[in-house]
Amino acid sequence: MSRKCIINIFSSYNNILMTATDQTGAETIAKCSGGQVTKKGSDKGSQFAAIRAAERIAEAIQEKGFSQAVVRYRGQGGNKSPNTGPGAQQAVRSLTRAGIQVQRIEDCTPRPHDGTKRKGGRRGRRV
Amino acid sequence: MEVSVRVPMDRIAVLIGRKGMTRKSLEKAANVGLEIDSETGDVSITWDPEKTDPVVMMKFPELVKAIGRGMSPKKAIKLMEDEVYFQLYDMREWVGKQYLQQKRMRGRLIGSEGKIRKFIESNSGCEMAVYGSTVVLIGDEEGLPLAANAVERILRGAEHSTVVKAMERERRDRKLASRRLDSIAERGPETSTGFDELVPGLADARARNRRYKNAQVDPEDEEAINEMMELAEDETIEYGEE
Repeated sequence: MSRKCIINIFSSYNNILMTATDQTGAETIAKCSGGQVTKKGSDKGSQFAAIRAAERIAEAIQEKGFSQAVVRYRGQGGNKSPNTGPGAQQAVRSLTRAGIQVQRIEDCTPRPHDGTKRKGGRRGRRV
Repeated sequence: MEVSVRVPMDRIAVLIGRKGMTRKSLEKAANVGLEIDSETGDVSITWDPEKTDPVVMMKFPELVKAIGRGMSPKKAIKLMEDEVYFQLYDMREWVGKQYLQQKRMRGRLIGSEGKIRKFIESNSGCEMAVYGSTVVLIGDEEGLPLAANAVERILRGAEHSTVVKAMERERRDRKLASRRLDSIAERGPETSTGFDELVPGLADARARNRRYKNAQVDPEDEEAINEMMELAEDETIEYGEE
């Protein structure tokens, strides 16, 4: 019997974090991040790092007998940009290439219902 | 599986198209079902998770959103390709909710007779749509950061001329970088023909030839020729007798 897990992907412009959990979401099965698969700090959020991290996750969960997955991806969210980073798509693509059956896919970016003030102050971000 | 997106009332007609043409072609392209409520503007997207590609499932809501935010379906359908990304900006984050301020920003982003928008689109290869208080960008891995940077700068209040100059410089730098020898050498060895071991130096000669070819300007490409003929800042031509 094939087991099902949840793969949480947090993808920002600077990094990508992936955590595979069981269906309850309480037990972590495997985790990987952009920093673990690249040498240079600025490459952490790149698509290449996302692909490598996803491959690692896929290998780790397949070893433990999971072949189906629910993917929940999110961007920065909150009072920051809701756009997901460039890595998320590539990560999902390479998960499916590794033979993981993606059953559901959902965007879990936290959206404020008018939350707190954005950082930057009255005069905005000054470069 | 089902996802719902909200589309403004005046864009619903665009999403459906004449006699449902656009809607049908979208459904066919992504293998999904679209249910559009034209009273409220709710669009619910349904699909069969067994059959559909998960990346398409991820991107299709974005495509509907792009059409809802003023992009024409013909341009937005580009998003279905791999390696094309979507970015949405809300100008309220920069200029607040005042109508006149938003109108001013729209004008600045588009430019007189669409000059600035056209410039951004042609320089980065992206598609751009300004609608209400939002800006939608669709482009590939290389072009999107370029365009996004330009849009952000304009929103932040930079002058048009600086944005245009910076974008041109960036583009030229990238072009030069792609023409440099090390980036060409990175591409790796060409497939060997089997004679490489028999003829000493054949592989090197081939690599040299390729480098030489890549460093040359394509005589068919008029734009490249013009760029080559252009004088640098410290160059002048003087006509006189020797």
